[in-house]
Amino acid sequence: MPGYVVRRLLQSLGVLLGVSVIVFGLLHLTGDPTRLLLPLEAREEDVRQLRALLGLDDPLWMQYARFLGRAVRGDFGLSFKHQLPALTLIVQTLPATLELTAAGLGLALVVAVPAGILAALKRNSVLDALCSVAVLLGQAMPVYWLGLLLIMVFAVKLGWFPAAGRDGLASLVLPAMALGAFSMARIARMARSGMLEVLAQDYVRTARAAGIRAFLVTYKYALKNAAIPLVTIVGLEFGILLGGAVITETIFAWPGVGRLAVDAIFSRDYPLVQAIVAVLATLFVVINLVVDLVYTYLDPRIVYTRSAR
Amino acid sequence: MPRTLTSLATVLALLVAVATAWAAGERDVTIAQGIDAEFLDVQMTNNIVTLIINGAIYDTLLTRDKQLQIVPHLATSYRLVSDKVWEVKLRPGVKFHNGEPFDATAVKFSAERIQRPDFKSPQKGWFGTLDRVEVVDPATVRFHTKVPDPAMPARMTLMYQMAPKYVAQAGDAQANLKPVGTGPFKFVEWQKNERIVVEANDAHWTGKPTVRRATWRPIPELGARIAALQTGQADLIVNVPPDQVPMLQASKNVRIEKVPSCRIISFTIAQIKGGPLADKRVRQALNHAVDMQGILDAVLLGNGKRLNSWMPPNVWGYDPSIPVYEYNPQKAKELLAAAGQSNLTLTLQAPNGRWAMDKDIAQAVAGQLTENGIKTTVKIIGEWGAYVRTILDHKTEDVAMSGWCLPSLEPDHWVTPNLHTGEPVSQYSNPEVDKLMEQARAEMNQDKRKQLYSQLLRVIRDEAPYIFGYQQMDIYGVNARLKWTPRGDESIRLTEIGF
Repeated sequence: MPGYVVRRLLQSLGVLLGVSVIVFGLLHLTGDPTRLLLPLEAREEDVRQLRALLGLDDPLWMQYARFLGRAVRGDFGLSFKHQLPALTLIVQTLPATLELTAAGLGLALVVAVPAGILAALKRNSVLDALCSVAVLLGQAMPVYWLGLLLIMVFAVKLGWFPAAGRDGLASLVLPAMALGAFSMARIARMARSGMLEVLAQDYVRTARAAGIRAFLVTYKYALKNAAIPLVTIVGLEFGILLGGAVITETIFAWPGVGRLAVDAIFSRDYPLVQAIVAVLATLFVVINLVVDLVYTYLDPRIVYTRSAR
Repeated sequence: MPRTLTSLATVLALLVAVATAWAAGERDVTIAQGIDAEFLDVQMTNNIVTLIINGAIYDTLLTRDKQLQIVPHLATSYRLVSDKVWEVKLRPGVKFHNGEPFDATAVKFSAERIQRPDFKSPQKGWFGTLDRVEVVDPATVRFHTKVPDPAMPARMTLMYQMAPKYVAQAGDAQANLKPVGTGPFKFVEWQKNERIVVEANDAHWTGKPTVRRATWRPIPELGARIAALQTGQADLIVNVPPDQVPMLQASKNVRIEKVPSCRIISFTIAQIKGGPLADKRVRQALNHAVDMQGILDAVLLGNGKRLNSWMPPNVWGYDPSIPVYEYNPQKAKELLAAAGQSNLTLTLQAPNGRWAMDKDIAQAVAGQLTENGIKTTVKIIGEWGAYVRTILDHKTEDVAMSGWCLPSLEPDHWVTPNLHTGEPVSQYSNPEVDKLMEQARAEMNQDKRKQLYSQLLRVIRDEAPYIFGYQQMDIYGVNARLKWTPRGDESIRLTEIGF
């Protein structure tokens, strides 16, 4: 097992390196950031001076090598736009994004897992049909539209929650709902189909025949096995939500890393974009690793050996 | 007696209630804009939203009153000693928030800091004519300019004053995170993309500010910004689109405030590309072929004022006697025929979301040109960085939607960057116009200078380097408890807010 983790971490380094090359290349293709940092009417000499100060006159490979050399030491350089260490800016904004993502995913799980199980247990009932409709809606509604709808109803009409910003728990509710809706629908669908599959298994029938209480059969035997695909999707969802929080953060003026990233991309803030991508990619890789490790707990038959790679 | 006691108790209770409400933020204000401040080191920015926020913390040497006239501020007076020397008297007894005195040394330090080669200030160009700053005595400085510069007073309205000792001790980075100025408000906190809080500086030289505490919140999404106003989460919001005005006016506790902006929007014709657009008659024809008033009424619901040339009435130098182009499709056809361009086809580029209803206006303009025989296709470039690149690389389409407002409100800053030969933004070249601009920007006699601008703006109108558009209307949503009217320079000053 420790060998497996080390191998995975080494693989991840390769992934991160690849991501950084692609992002670096793409960013430089989009054009010169000095033009966006200076006023439109700025003279050519001011532009030249700033380019030199930012080190943009050097050949691309040299700029990349410099970036990489610093990045391995945890230094992503100064953000062009904010003139602050890129990592500091991320450290300031990442907690807000993690908070929102966790809340969105938590909300999705709390609602979706019981709903999916119930729908499976009461297959073809009214409840099942209602769940299917909810899943359809959840997956079809754009987060942008849902966000504005939530603001209109719960902030403007009912006055229950703030419309925007990050001011305590109340302000987390609406963005978490908007962000979690899509995942909620997907998780409910997975929970239902996973549960249906497991309930049809022989061991469930055997357990029932042995007279074990229905509650135990469902929650002890069936659910644990139905949880394996769920864990996969929850892990993936967390990553998707981290990246997908951009729109939710913009609508609800949530001060997270997603908004920082969008601003950084629009202003061609190379160091900041690179740092955000590196941090998010690392998080994604770690989450995937954790998911793989959770499998072994859920299904002891899964063993990570060199051949199981 | 019991009645007297009851009355007394009632009055007391009322007083307590008022005092509590007062203490609990009755005089606090929350302002929601689309973006966060870029810097709280005011010398690191040229962004208007950032400058607005910094204006609470820092003072400038001169400033503009509500009518946008230049008036004394930290400088009590200024005079021209010779064509290239301006002498400025400074207000005595002013202190920075950290107790450091404001004097001539601070003025010299602040001006020189911007020009420091390792300091990445985008304001370098604002003070490009400044040669050196001479400290005459603690209350007097002299600005020596490289060339005669009548725009110096306008430049002084942008000379924000930094605390020399504080910046030297704390360093540039810290000066940005914990700003210290002489302004009417002191910095409290900055949570990136969340809020900036300032509190009243009761020791300010203008007296105690009415607003006690102000919070600036960046709320990028328009719908959320409007909701924040409706729910009382924000007291003042910017950039309300015209079509949302009736809905907000119907809301309780909310009112709409409008002011004609310094920002002007027009359609740059790429004359330097040559071809048909190099012919003045073709450019004039484009102006006659667009019913700009009709577009303003239909798309912006009347929230815009037509331009007669390339300058808004808010800027000194504007000449109201210059007529606007008349909508006259017949005349347009005649001009095109005379130029031998009866089958002209064009592409018009526009951004999306940069200015109020920009894309819709661009489509309406293209529609009218097409209707009047000039087949025009619209190309939307949604990403602002890419849009800017087409302008700076001089690779715009035939016609490009353009907006302009600079906080100096100096007339030369409207014409030279946009129309002088070889300027980065300029898509136009004409030696006669260049000469007039150069004369006007060096003329130290105000009356003569005004005449020169009038002449210049007339030539520009006739030359038609733009399809002349409109002066934008700035629309704000305001909580009814605020006594406030907007300014025509896009600025929001906390000291102008009452209750």
